[in-house]
Amino acid sequence: MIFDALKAEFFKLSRDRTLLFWCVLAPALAHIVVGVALELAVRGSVSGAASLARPNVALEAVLSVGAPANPFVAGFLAAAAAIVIAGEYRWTTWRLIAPRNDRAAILVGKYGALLALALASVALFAINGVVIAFLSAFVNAMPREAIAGGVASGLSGVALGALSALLHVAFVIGLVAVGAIATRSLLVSALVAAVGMIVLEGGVALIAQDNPGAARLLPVGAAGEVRQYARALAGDEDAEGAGGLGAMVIVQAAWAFSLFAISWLLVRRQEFPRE
Amino acid sequence: MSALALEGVAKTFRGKGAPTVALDDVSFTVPEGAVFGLLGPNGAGKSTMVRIVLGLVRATRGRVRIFDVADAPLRQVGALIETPAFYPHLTARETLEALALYSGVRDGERTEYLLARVGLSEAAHRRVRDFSVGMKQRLGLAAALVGRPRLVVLDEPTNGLDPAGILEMRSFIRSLAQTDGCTVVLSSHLLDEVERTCDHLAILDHGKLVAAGATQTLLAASDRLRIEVDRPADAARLLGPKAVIEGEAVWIEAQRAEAPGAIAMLTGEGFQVFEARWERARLEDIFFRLTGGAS
Repeated sequence: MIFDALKAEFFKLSRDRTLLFWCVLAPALAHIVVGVALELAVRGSVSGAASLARPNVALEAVLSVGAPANPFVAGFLAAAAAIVIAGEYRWTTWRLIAPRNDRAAILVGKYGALLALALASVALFAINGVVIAFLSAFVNAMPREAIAGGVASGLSGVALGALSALLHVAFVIGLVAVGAIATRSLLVSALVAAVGMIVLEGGVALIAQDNPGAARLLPVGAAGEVRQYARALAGDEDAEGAGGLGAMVIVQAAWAFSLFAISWLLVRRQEFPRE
Repeated sequence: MSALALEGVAKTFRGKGAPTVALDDVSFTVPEGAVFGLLGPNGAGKSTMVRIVLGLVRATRGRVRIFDVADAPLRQVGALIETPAFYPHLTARETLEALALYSGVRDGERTEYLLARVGLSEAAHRRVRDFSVGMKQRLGLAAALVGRPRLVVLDEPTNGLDPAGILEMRSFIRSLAQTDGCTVVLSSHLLDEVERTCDHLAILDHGKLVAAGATQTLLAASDRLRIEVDRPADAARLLGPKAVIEGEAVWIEAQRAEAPGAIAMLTGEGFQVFEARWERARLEDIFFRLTGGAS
């Protein structure tokens, strides 16, 4: 049942080229264009390539791989989630699919397809980071051996950064799913996610001033800590995680899973008198 | 074996205002292989009942059995509910492929066969958002047949179809039973369509079941004897409360066996009987009598 739903959701998603372009490809393209332009602009404005910091390929990849978790890029993925989940209400298509498969399996299928989308986004941003780092090394005329961090040596940091970004996107998808199922509205579900992310970002910053421990229990705070660990693994000497890596990953996963569980309970109990 | 059985099904919607009773203790059986008509005026509860059968809405009370199994998997049920809705970005072919995947089947030949059967082969590559209502209705029918269902539930399938399309749909529905061996439940408020298409039917009114059974049996039970006689008013009085005068004749609601006695009584009292014949009731007459609508 779940496998069938996953295949169906992947199939539908793969046929929505507009969504794939705007929600995954466009942010990554914008990122690499801006990154390359900045690199070239900095090269043009600073005399003496040697005065520039040596690029750390692994660190660039770690920083880049976390981009899908920032509110701007996550907003595009939230829009994708809204279309995939709330779209069933907007187009009144629950009537087509609910008799064919278990609702919980369909929801899992939607999460799976969206997480695959998030994984593609994370991978594209990671590639961007590596490309920009190598470009930086090239335009700064650095010898190959002078590149401080090798990609291989920083793989664990990149993997940790990717995991953190994926868990954060899963949390955002959960926000959208709960909003979509509770309100049956595409627009409101996207707004719920946007407002939720803004409130959490601001809330974590405020709480962290007085009580950093409590801030780390919020999804945005935990994600920030995991990113610190990832940067440290990639050789960033200034980065220092707190709260314990395992605990922070568990906090992120628990938030994502809680929202999934809520959306699962909601959709199981829901009636479709119009959809 | 019954294809579908409703046992005391009730549904009450509780919203902001007073609770709305959509279905009230509805029980009936759809025999396997039948084309079963579900009739009722707007708001009678037909669509709610269809949605309960499909698991889209939960019954407040009662049980639905599909092929004698309660809470049966719905993969053996295909459905077209009111105006069909689809994913606007998918083509007709992709829509059927996606639905087949949800159902756990993937059969490219079946997809092409269904598209051809509903006359959409030429438009298979077109996005559904560009389809007319009639084309969507055809695609909805094809979608209902994905996965080779044994029971097909069609809710107002002729909505948006032109007269030719309605005729085509009618023969299509019959072919589902005769050629494909499906049991068909057809929910409609088009009396003529149901009378011509369905061998069994149920009539709902305000959420209650007011009649159910074989179409011919229901119609025969409502046959009326028309008697042309020289003094109709006196004849009607003599025959009692079952007799009414319509036009020049006396009409009696009676069983066939009662006819000779009624005629003998009239002739015995000196009435001149010019003609006596049975008039087959139309579904429309029965429907309006049971639902209290205007004829």
